[in-house]
Formats: sequence, C-alpha cells, structure tokens
Amino acid sequence: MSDDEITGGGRRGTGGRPADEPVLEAVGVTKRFPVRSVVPRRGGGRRMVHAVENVSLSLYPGRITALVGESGSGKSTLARLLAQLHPLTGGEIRLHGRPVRPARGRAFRAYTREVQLILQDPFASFNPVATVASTLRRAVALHHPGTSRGEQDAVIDDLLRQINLVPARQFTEKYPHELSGGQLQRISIARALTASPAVFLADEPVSSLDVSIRLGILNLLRRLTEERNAAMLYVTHDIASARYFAADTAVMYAGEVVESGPSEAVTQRAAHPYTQLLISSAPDPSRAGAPRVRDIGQPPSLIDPPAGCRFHPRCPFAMDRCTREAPPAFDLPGGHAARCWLYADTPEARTRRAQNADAVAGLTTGSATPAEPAGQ
Amino acid sequence: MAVQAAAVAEADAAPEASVSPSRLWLRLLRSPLTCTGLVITVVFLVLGVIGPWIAPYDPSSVSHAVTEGPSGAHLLGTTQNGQDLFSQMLYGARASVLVGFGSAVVTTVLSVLVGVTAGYLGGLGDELLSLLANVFLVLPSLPLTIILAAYLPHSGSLGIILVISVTGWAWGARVLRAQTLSLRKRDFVEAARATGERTSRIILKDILPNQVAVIAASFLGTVTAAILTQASLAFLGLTDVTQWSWGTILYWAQVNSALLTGAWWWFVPAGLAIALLGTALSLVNFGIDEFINPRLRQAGIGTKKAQRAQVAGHRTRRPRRTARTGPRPPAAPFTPDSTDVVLDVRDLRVEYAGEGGRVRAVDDVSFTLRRGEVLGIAGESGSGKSTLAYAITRLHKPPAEVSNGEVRYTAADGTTVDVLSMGDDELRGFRWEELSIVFQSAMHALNPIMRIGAQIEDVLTAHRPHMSAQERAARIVELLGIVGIPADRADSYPHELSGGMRQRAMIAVGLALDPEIIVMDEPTTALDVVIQRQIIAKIMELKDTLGFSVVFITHDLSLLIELSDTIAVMYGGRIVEMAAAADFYHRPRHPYSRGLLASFPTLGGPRRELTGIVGSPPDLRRMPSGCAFSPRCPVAFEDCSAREPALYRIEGGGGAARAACLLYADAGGGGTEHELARGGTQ
Repeated sequence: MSDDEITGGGRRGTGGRPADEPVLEAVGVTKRFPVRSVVPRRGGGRRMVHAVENVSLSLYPGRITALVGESGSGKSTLARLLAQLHPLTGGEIRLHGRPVRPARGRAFRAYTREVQLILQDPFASFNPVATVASTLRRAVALHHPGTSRGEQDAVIDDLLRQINLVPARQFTEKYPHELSGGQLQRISIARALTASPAVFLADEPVSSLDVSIRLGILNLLRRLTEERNAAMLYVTHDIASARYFAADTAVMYAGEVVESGPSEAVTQRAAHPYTQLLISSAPDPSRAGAPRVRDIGQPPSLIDPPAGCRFHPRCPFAMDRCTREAPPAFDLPGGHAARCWLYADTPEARTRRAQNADAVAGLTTGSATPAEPAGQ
Repeated sequence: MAVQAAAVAEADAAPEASVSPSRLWLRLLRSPLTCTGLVITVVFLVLGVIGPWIAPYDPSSVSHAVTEGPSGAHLLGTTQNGQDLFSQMLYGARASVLVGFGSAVVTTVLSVLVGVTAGYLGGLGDELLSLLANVFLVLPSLPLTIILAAYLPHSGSLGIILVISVTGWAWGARVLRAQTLSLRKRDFVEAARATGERTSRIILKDILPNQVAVIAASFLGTVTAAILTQASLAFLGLTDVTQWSWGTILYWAQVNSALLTGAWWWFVPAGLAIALLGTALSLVNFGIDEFINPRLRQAGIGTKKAQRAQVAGHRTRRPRRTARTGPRPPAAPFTPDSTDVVLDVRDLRVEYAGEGGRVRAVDDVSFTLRRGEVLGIAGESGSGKSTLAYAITRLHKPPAEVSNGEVRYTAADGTTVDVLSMGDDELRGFRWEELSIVFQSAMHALNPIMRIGAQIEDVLTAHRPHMSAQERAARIVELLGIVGIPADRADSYPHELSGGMRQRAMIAVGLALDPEIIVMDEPTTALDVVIQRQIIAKIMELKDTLGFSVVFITHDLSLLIELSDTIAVMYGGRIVEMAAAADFYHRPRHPYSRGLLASFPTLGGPRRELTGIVGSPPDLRRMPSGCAFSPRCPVAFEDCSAREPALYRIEGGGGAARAACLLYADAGGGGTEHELARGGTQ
C-alpha cells in the first residue's frame, strides 16, 4: 500500500488563485461496513464491505473538486465520511489542518457549522409534512442560536435572495411537494448556507434534476463557492460535468481513487484505463467516430475485492504485476496522478503504455482516425 | 445573468398560495363520512362530560316503575328495580368514554416512547426494547386482562385503563419501531443530521410528524378496543358492578334475564351506543390520513370520478386476428427516405382527468415510425414522453385517457389495424407479438419471485401454445444468448442479477416473440454509463440483425443523438421539433432544442460556453398561453405568447425538419427579423 497523497493540482494551481492550505483533508481514509448475515461464516471473522480504501483528498478554499465514479465506487460514502455521518475505520480527516475527533453533540454541531452536506434528491431531502419555512427556521435556529423569530425570517429572506428565489414569501409557506425539483434543490442549498460553512459537500446535486435546469444550479454553486471562498466537493457520476464545473477531478473505482489532477488533464489526457473506459462510455455526439474502449466484465464485489489493482480483472492492459501488487500513485506532468502500473518505469510497462496510448488516441477529439478498439 | 433570469422565471412559475390551516378544516368537513364520524364522536364525548349533570334521575335509585318500556317519564324505560335506564346510559357514557380515551392515551404514549426510541437508537437499546415488546406480545392478553381485572375490581376505571394499556401497547410499539427504522434512513433525516440537529429534535420534528397517521390510527383503534374490553369485563362481572358503565348495564340486564322477559330496552341502547361509537371512530380514522398528509390533501388523480370517466370511453370489440406463426423475415436496412411506415400516430391526445379539470399530458402528437427506424423521443419531466409511450401501447391507466387521435399499425404483410380500437383479446395478441415494451426499472417490471427463464417461458406459453417444452427451452437459451446473458443464469431470480443483467433480461422478454416494434422508456437511465454503453451497443446490434423498429424515449439528448435515426423533441406535451438525428445535432431549429443541446457538457473538443435554459419546465395544469416555451425563450417576440405555433415544415440542409416555432411560420416569406433570430442563436 502506498501512502502517496493524491491531491490533484490544487497547490500547483492550474488556474484561479494560488491555492493555500487545504480546508478539509482526507488522509488515508478507510471505511469498512460489516455485512449482516443470518448464518455466521465458518472460520474467519465478520465479512466486511470495503467501501472506501486508503483515500486521500484535499479541498481548497474557493475551489471545486469533483469526485467521479459509478454507483458503488464509494464516492457518496466518502462524502458522508467527510461530513462525519459515519465513523472512520482508518485514516484521518483534517479540518483547517487539525485532525477531527469523532464527535457527537456540541462538538459535532460545531463541525457542521464548517462542513455542510447537500444531498442528491431534493424531493426526498425535505420533511414532507413540514413547510419550507419551518425546515429553514430550524436550520437557522441551530446555527444562529438566540435569534428572535423576526430575525430568523430576515435571515431566511436574505438566503433565498442569494439563491435567487424571490419573492421569498412565495416559497416559504409551501410544502415540499408543491415546489419543483430545481426550486427545492435551491432551498436545500439555502439550508446548507445557514451555517456559513467553509466546505460544501455536494452529493450528486443535479443528477435528479432536468437537464435544462442543471446548469442554473451548478452556476449557483460555483458562484457561492467563489463569493464565500468556500471549498466544494462535487460528487458526480457524470465526468463531462466535472470537466466544466470543477477545477480538479478525482476518479474513484471500487473504493479507491485511481486518478486525480486538474479536470482538463484528467478528462482530456486520461491516464488510468478505468478513466479511459468511463470517458469512452459517456454519450457525447461531439465525439462521433471516436474509438471505443472495449469493456470486459463488471465492477468487483467489495466484500472480497480482487488482489493487486482492483481494476485488473477488467483491464485490457493488465500485466502480471497488476494481479499481485496494488499500484501506488504515479505522478504525471501537471499535477496529474494515476494509480496504475502502466506508469512504472519498467520495460514491460513502457510497452504496455505505448499500446494504451495508441488505443485511446483520439478518445476525446473524435476527429482523429478511428483507432482499433482496445482489446486483448 | 442567466442565473438571475432563471430565478425570475422560477418565481413566476411559483404555485398558488398553500391552503391555509383554517381552509384545511373546511376540507376535512367536506368529506361527509368523516364529518359524520366526527360529529358522533364529539356528541359521545360531550355526553361523557356533562352526562351526570343532565341525567334526570340518580341511576341507582329505585322506584316503583319496574321493568317499564320507554315512556315520557323514563325515556329509555326502567330496570327490574325501577332504575331509570336513560340516566344509567348517561352515567355509563362517562365511564366508557373515560376508559376508552384514557387507555388509548396511555397505550399510545407507551408505544410511541418504546417504538420510536428503539427504532431511532438501534443497537443494544433497540434489541432490549424489542425484546420487551415481544414478551408483551406473546402474553395471552385475554386471560391476563381477566386476572388483572379480578385483582383490581374496586380500583374503578383507572384499574381498567391500566390493564388495557399494559396488555395493548406492544403491538403499536412494534409498528412504530418498523416505521421509524425506515424513516431514519430517509434523506430528509440524514439532511437534518448533517445540519447538526439534536437527536431529540429530529425525533420530534422529522420522525413523529411523519408517523401521525399511524399513531392516530392506532389511537382510535385502541379507543374502540378499550371500550369493547371494558364492556366485556363489566358484562362478565369482573369490574365493580355498582359503578355504572354500558358494560354494567348489560351485566345487570343479563343477570335479570332481560332477554327472556323481552325487556329489549334494557340491553339494546347500551349495545347500540358501543356499536355507534366504534363505527364513528372508524369513520374518523378513514379521513385522518388525508387530513394529515399534505400531499393527499390535493388528491384528485385516481379518484373514482376519473376512473368512471375512463370506463365511459368504451371501445368496440373486433375478432382476434390469427397469430403469426413463423419468424418474421428480416427487413431491409433503414434508409432516411424509406416510406415503409410501421406505426403511424396521428393527432394523439392524452388527458388526465382530475379534480381541477382535465390536464393535457400529450397534445396532438403525430409521428410516423418506419420499418427498421430508431425514433428517439427526448423530453424533460412532464413533457409527456412517458405518457405517450403508455398511450401507444395502450398501457395507460385511469385517470389517463386517450381523448383523440389514431395509432395505426401496419404489419409486415401490409394489413393495417387501429391499435386504439382493439378489443382486449386482440390487444393481448398485439402486445409482445407485434409491439413490446422495455421499461426503465427492470427490477420492478420483472416478477421478483420468478426465475428469469420462467418469465420468458411464461410469455412463450401464453402466445405460442403449440410450442413444445423442448422448443421453449431452446428458445430461452437462444434469447438469453442474443442479449448476452450466460445460459446458466436462466435459473436466477431477478435480485441475483446486476442492474445491467436485469435490463438485458427485460430486453430478452421483449424480444421473445420477435416483435416488429420495441418501445423503450428510459431503458438505461438507472444504469451506470459503462453498462449503459454495453446495453445500447447490444440493442443496436440486435436491431440490425433482427430488423425491428425502436421508439427510444429518454431525457438524455446526447445518447439519443448517437443512436437514433430521427429525433422528436417534446415540450409541454407537444412535439416541438422533429428532424434526422445528424441534422438535428448540427442545426437544431427550435430555440428549446438549441437550449437543450447547449446544456450538455461535452468531453470532446474545446470547452464551449454552456448557456442552458432559463426558468423551469411548465406545469401542465397552468400552461402559458401561446407557445408553451415562450416564457423561457431567448428569442420570443410578442406573437409567441398569443399564438400557438403549428409544427412547421422547414426545407433545406440535410433533409426536411419540422419545428413548432413561430420563427418558421413564414418559412416561405422570409421576414428579416426572424431570419436573424433563427440564425442568431445557432
């Protein structure tokens, strides 16, 4: 196991302000959930789901970091770990450089004042029998203790103005089912804003919304991040949106971060074969005629993950070494890193690397001569 | 700027003011049954409180008027000792109501405390509390009640309340624990936790309000049960028989053989009162859910009225056509200028009948599907795309209703039938044989307790009765092979397969009878992109080898452009643009199509400006006048909010396209201003 930290190009700054110290960091974070089984297994301890394995990630003020992966890759679990909703199995979370102790009660509330989670489904994330006003008022009362009802309403009006829901009164007296998904997601963001957090953890904030209103929500999140100099983790399955929305991108597969770096580098010069597969599979008419990476197999079981690199059973470029040793993170130019043995400095890796480069040439240009689909 | 404008448009679209609490009470009163129940309950409650004061006699005082029927002096007659039964009933009402509501309060408090605490805390606390509830559940409650009552005969109503509560709380606690367990996993509770809310407040504000319906139902149920239990105990003489209650009246009636002597007035009022109060409480119970759940308050869809409206639109029956026996000959590959139409939909209109009038979900939609063609229908939520899919397959259910239009299907041999006028038998033959459907959620569309192979076999047995078991088995293996499922997975249950495998199984079921048309409603939306790519590749490969036509419905325009021959974009229930896919991608005509295309981030090429569309999709109940898109349209002009555009034909470029936009109303004329707008946003 390598402890190399995958941080993306934050410190090097691929655009925007020179990034300073990270606000929130995950250092070698590991999470295992016990599997509940009726019949106890013979020999050996309890079975575990290896949901997140040794993940390191840093979030910088005023910067959006995308966490891309398929369902079951552990990306949402990582967001919840960062929100302290589950205890860690291993590793450490640092807020403003200081390790965070597992907290309850007052200490946990202090933590939530700094780190706020925005959930995917706006229809499910509101109490259906409470009005929007009462939901927001609770959040305001929590983070601005001792305010009068009038002051709370003023705070709410101000927040709704910030998220462009005006006139506020038209929305606050509604029940969640009376509002559209886009409006609810804005209110969900307003709820997170009551704490004036330093970090937003947005778990698929636009996946359940209509295409035509996604952009408005993403622009709103970007504006808030910039105005408040807050950090944002943008969890998504849509790697194309990461390219447009986030400065840095980390790609997760089967609980591990396999590639990270500036979004443009990760999406345009994808290094890890899994990222290449992901990009190749995304529907995008602008790449008509681009080569397709052939896929063999499906994501592994996280109860009993494959030895070595977790992607090797699906990887067309897998070498003998991949089945035995887990790859460390190899640094690539421009703050880009990939956990893949292709980037090791051995003759076999060099040959394979050349094959890989051939196979994925023109993956994101579409105009290049269609190369042979990668196969065995 | 765009965001600002979006906000304004959203604010415009904000729904009408919520129903205020006082109006809610009125709504509750509008339901006559609930209202009746409520009135009766209140009358009994009032009688329970004021009964002893308005009673004309002391219920225990004897008189010379023995065993008299109802009269002016004794409204309900007298007992063998000349006691006034009306007064006894009034005194009894207090005891029965007190026991009923008293036990319900204690029982409910106990079950809420134990159930919600156990469900929310989980872990050891849950296990201990659940164990306690389970122990109380298996206690034989009737003997226990009798024993406890026999030990406490002189403690009055309080003793009875205690007995009923102790034996009755466990069931409610179990139900509430289960509900809490599921609520605890809901997003809004997670959201409240993430905000840093205290556990006690989450329970009080998020968990409990969502359980009010269950709590209220169990409360009212306990009231009825407690009144009955009290009456039974009193009737058996296990309570203090000198304290008047309805049960005591029945006890004395029984002891003095009222039934034998024909003194019906002695036992009928008490029995009737118990039955009446029980019925009234059940009526309140029915209404309470609608009153508590804000979503149900606006109910309208699924009402009986709407269902009746559907039945009224009866269809004529026709004799069943003979089923095709041999496999269909593979068709020639599709070309853009083909005229071999397999499905012709004309002026189709689907409406939802609701309380507030009829809502048009699909409005005058016409399109043709040619043999071998892939027609992609794109649209956002509420655009009517799924309703359209259900309507052309006749799978729509009330309150949806096809109120206008034709769906004509032309079989390979040239015969044409109208799908909308088919009888039930004919329809059964048509579906799966000629046209099959693949839904979004394969987990829900497949029967969870049947093996995959058996589900395919079901379709074959129903439609190909002459097939032998071996032939069926061979066909199942063949079909699974076609969609790429290993043959040994035929014995798997749906939950044992991955999402992608289940979707493949659905496609295998759809292909089982070799249909001409497959309608796919968001078949890959729930899947990851990598799996989606595999499924799409499989569908396209099968289409080429088997030669069927596809209607592919999705919100994902990028995907649609890649796989379709022709694209139709729906907005607000109408088709607003229809064009060949490649032409559509390079030159979208309708401003909505342009906006949609400019909303998708791309992976290829340089990063381009994403403009998106301001505002949000229209509410079908409150459609804007004129063009439905005009409030969100960047190039809208005055006429747009007044005139509804037809689907104008636009010549030139890569073939003919159609767009429902007034910019093209004068396509022949050429108003310079519109020319600019047409080109300006491209």
